[in-house]
Amino acid sequence: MSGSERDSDQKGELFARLLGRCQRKVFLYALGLIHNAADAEEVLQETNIVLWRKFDEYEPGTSFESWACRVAYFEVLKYREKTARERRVFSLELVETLAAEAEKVADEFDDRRDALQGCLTKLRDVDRKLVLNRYRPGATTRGLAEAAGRSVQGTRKSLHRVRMTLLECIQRTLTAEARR
Amino acid sequence: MSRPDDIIPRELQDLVAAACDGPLSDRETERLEELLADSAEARRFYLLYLHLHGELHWHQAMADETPDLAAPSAEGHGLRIPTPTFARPKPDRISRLRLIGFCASALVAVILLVLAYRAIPERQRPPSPAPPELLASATLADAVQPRWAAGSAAPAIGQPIPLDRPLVLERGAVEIAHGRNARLLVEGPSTFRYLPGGRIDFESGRATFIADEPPDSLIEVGGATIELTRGKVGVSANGGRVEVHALEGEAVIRRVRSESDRFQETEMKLTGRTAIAWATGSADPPQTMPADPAGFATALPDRLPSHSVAMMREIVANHPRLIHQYTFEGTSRLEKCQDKRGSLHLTEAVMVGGRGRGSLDYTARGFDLTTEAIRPHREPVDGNENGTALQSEVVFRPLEAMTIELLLRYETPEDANDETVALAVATRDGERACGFFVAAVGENHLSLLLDGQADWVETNTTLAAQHWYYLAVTLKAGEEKTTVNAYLVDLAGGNRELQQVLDNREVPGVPATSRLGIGKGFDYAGAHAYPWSGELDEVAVYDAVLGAAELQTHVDALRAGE
Repeated sequence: MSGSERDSDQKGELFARLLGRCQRKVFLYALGLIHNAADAEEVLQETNIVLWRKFDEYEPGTSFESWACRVAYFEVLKYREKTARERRVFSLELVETLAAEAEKVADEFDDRRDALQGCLTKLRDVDRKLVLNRYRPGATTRGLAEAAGRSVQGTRKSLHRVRMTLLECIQRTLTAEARR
Repeated sequence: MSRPDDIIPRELQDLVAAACDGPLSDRETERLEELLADSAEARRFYLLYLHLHGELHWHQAMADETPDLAAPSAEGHGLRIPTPTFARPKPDRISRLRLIGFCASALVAVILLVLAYRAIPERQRPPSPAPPELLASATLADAVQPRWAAGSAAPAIGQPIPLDRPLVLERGAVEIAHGRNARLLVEGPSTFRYLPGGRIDFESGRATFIADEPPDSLIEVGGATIELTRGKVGVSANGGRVEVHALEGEAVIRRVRSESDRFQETEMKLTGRTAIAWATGSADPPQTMPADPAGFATALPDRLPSHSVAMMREIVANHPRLIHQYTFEGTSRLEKCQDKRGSLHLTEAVMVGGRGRGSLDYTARGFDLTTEAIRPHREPVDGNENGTALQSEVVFRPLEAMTIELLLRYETPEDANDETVALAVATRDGERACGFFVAAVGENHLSLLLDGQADWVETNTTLAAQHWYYLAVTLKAGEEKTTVNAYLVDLAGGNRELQQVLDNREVPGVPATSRLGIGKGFDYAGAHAYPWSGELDEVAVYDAVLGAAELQTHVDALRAGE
């Protein structure tokens, strides 16, 4: 194996390692900008392709996650431009503002995620089942409502109430940890 | 956010929750945007709520098993997933996120496979697929610093041109021989493809077809076929506009492809240095104009000129007072939007509240073969308000003394009138506070404006169509007025001497602080507006007033070798 092939091997391995680590963060970042999970998934897919194509531009030692989010930002803009022909989307100014603020909030994401695990266990059984079933692959709020024999609107309200409970619990957990 | 229910307005909560439970209507999106635009607290709530939504989505999508969560987990590691009692997904519905996970894994696997494949000795590899069909009569005769895009066919000099493969020449120029008596000169950036039957599908860019005898090939461009009997014909296709120039001899243009084609005649003959232009997809008849022999290369240069945009760029890059440099060079949009000196990077701005249309061209033809320019999009309808261009990601704070330098080419917009405004470099902070540093106003007048309620500062210069210009504007701001100098060189026809078009002119106002628009400006309310019409390149900002002699060295680097 030549030296350049060895370099390519190392590059492929490095890319594989870095890509695996940043998937969740890029998805969450994109979701914050376009508030639609399906769209964020599309953006994540496109971002992965661009990351590999442009991997030569990545400087080892710098934050791959930051670079990936930067690439994702431009993919969000492209997706947004495409989607804007079919439906109303957030203005570019708002997307820019949200992108800047999402970077700041992203520092809290890992702590919030840890807190979420604990908060889920504290939910009432019925609420925990509701929220986790809502997020099962392929599940929809409408499907959830039909299966439970409830109205869609009522199910939406219940889901929102559980999410707000989780948000409050996460905030309390982080505040308590900060005081320790 | 101690108790979100108490602090966050109910309407905002409902809209954010609705966004998580399905697509919002246009009206809901509009209202949500209004609420978010008004309040940092609202945006924080939105981002944290979406984060929660995303975390739940992500973990459930990635989960491999579904243990019973009827009882809370004592371990507290990872998100536990309940045995579904309802809304069980159909077996054929795979989570798209999980699919992406597979795709990411597959991407990595492909990379590793390729690496592993390379490790197999040559003789053990399966035979390569048959090479693409070749057009024996077309070969790459010569090339000057060609750069072919990744994924594009990249023929070597002396080799046949592959058939039905995209040829994406990003930069440089190539000459393709068609037998002994005809050749095609293609300048980058251009995209084209050779098809069976001697057809050349010319998608975009600029090329010259030169034939001593009627060639056995024809060019298809913008819904028409072009046959050359003998002589020279120039073809350009860019941003939906197609031009065919009969430079020598006769070209025959035939309507093809669709019933809705714009040509009323089935056949048009171009002779005697005439040209026609049309917009792809437009029903308007083609516009006739004089041919532009200077606009099309008829021979490859022996080598790239020693004095060039690249050389000027290098001198600018090494200038100690340079603070921002936008060369628009690079292989990705991200790289092209990069501030090569500072950290004031650019991003796209789509006008009409982000709902405008049209794409900014990042690979527009520059002044010479050593550069690529950008071409903002400007809509012929509502031109001052509608288009796509660039602006800095963060606020630009003009300095008390500074110089702005750039290369530009201006095209009179289709709907131009006395009130037409196109901005090349601009800021704005209010109704009065402007920084319209480089503007084309009305009948192509080169102008600037620093006080929105004052008159335009005219340079008494009209920008000629199709000409590239070097322009430098120096600004020395006082309390309420700014002293401005402006230097211009019309680069057409070998000019290289700086012409001072504003001489220590005191103008009302001082440069405003805001995002820096490149190829656009802002109206008094801060909305994106005034897209540039034409190309821009090599925008540089210095933190000092540079003198004419120093600026002249930049122009000399650009032109002196010619």
